[in-house]
Amino acid sequence: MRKWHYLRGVSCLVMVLVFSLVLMNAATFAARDPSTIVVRLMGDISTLDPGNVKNVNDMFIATNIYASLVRYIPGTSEIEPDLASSWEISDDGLEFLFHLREGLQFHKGYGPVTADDVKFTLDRIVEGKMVQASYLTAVDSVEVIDDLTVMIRLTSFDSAFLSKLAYRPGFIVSRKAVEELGDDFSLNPVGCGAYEFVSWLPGETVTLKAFAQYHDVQPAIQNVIFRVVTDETAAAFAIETGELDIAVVRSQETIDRFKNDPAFNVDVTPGTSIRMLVMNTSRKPFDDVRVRRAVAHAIDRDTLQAILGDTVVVTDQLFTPAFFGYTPDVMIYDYDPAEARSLLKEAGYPDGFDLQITSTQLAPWPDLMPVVEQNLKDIGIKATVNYLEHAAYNSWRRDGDYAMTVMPLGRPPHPDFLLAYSFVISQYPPGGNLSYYDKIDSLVEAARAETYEDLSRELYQVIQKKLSYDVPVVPIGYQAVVAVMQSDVKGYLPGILNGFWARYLYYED
Amino acid sequence: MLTYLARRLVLAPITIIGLIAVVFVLVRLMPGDPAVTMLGDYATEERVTALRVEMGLDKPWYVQFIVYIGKLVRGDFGESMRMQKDVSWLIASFFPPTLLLATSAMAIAVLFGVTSGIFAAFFHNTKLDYGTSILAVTAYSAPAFWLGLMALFVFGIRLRWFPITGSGSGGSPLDVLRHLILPAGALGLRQAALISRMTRTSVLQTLQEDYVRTARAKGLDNTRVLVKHALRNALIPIVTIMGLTLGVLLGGTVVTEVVFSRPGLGKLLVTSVTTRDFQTLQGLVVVWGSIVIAINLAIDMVYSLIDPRIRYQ
Repeated sequence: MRKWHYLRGVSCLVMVLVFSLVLMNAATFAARDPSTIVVRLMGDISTLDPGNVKNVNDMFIATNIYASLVRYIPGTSEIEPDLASSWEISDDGLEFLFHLREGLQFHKGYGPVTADDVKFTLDRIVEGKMVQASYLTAVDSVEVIDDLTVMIRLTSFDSAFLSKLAYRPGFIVSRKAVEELGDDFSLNPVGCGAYEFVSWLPGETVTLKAFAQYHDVQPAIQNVIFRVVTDETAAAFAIETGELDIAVVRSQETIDRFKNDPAFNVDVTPGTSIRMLVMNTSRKPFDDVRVRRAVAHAIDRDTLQAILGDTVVVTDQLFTPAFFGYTPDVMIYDYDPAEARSLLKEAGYPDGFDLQITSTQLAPWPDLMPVVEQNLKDIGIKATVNYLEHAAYNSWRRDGDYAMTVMPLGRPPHPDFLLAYSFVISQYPPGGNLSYYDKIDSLVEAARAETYEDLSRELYQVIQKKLSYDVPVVPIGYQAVVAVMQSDVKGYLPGILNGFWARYLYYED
Repeated sequence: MLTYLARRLVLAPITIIGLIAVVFVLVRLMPGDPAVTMLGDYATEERVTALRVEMGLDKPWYVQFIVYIGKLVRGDFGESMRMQKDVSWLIASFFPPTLLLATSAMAIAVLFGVTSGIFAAFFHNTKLDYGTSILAVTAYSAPAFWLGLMALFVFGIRLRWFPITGSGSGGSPLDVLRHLILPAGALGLRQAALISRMTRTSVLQTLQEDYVRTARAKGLDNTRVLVKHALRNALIPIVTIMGLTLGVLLGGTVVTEVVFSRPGLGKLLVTSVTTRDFQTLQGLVVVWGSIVIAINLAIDMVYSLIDPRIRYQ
């Protein structure tokens, strides 16, 4: 019976292998290194060069490696000093004079941070036509006054300029490092932020370690490992087994799984990334404001909120209180199908009309569009929705050939980012003004160019009112930033700008 | 034999060029502009047009195709738009984990498939045979991603035997092995089932051949009949299915890599599609296609080693 020996041999071998691995695992799972935190990355990075970063994965890493002249106080639209200890703005608002802190250092021995590096960073983006160049169109010149003083001149005042410097375009890079490393810089970044880059294992992890010469409070956690976990279910499993200490998640299922479990904490924060329905005001039937108002009245926000759960904060306003110049005093369209029907009748559509809506497949649209479709049917608009994969949608919408579509847009909490991209004539498709709206150009210009802050704030309030009367878009909600973490992870501050700040995190004893 | 091999080796590049042509046209028919995807939603029309010119996308597809093939012949796979790195470098860095996963899954599939198939055949119409058959049919009916998720749930979460994310690269060989077992098992099990069924049928058939009866009549013991006479003759269909299996397994890594959060070509492929990274996509197809062609060729060669009656002209 030699064949039985063969079978026994194989099964014994397998058993021994499995058990030895299991035993060795027991030790690995028990130990937790208090100096290290493992963070979920939703996809692999594509570049860590701040001039070109554009997706959330790149931003997660970049916000830890780099620092800028000024920065947002996390969770707000307020600006505070970072690399610059102070700054002066000329009366006409065209000259920004920044004074750098003394003793700032770049990572990996690349020397002190100087005014020349600031000039190099901004010039490089503008001259190199890098992805971030569109934020810096107002920059006329950057002049080095001395090692620690730099003057940025603008062609026209931009009240959002400091906000822009606190965002992606403002991450200061080391001239020496960029010149030395050339093309390799994008995956061997050198900044002056709280953490320095250690390694990237393609498709697997990005590892950072605390920078001993960081100018601000030293981070409590020495090593940060960003682990690529694309699949949401796999991420939920990995949080449960402790392979991830903290993860930004996207689905309600994951949130529900951890919400009532004392071993985990769930943080839900409304972001500044808006989701809106867009109506083409340049053609029938949405050239009539009454039809647009009818649509606004038709949307049942309670049902939407119930369906979207914690992942989206449903809203009836374009801006949230996190935005500079926010006002609640705008026209609000309550859920009122009867009013909607009578508005349609007034506009000459007593029997409604047929409507084709094209949407992206990106979450949360496939969840919320069926509700919108039904809401519109309820008032007589025979709507049908078809979905395009996101990259296909992005190319499709540039033609501007639609009556209604959707738009997801993530921008910092200064209204100029959203307004100058989505509501001015120069941004007609292929730009971001998908509704072909042409009524607030001069107001947006004026608000941006207004050097007196209170007046600028007031202008933004006027704009919000005007937009609420004209309803070129129906705001649906703000994507929430949801993070799940082990219960001993403390200090988490949500990144409303697609970033992640490991330096505030610590473990509770 | 050698002329046959030479002919196949000449045909292989032609097959690959045909494959590239199909993919080349398909990715360009796919809606979604790579320049728009690359530059993000803030991009102006001028920048998009400029980038399209830079990428050569403004030229007709056949011109792009000839340029691409010209570069490819010199070993230049082009540059990934998403990463701004050489595609050959990208593929080289993502290849090892995928190769490891696919070959391990293959090893599992062959080890379990052939063994269980032989036993099922040898003890056919017994409980052992029925048991193996039920297991095999069940395993074959389960999609790889489902098997993967179940394996994650049972061995990763409930039992906590194995880690469930990553490949352990950068760690010790033991670490790599620990990370490998679940995904390789989930990926290989389905093919093991297929190989098991195939082996069983094939061995059963040969066991009924006259020469097996002759061998038994000579008084040879069961093991010798099985190993010396039946198995070798049963190998041809088994080797065929093994060759096909490696192709399937390489494809299957796409899903498995996502479920187990492993790096690799499969994930690179998915990212290249969603970001419309044409150069990387084409490069991957060339590499994948070449591997499958090479395997098929190797299998054809192995036939003649197993069965000397097979001659290639």
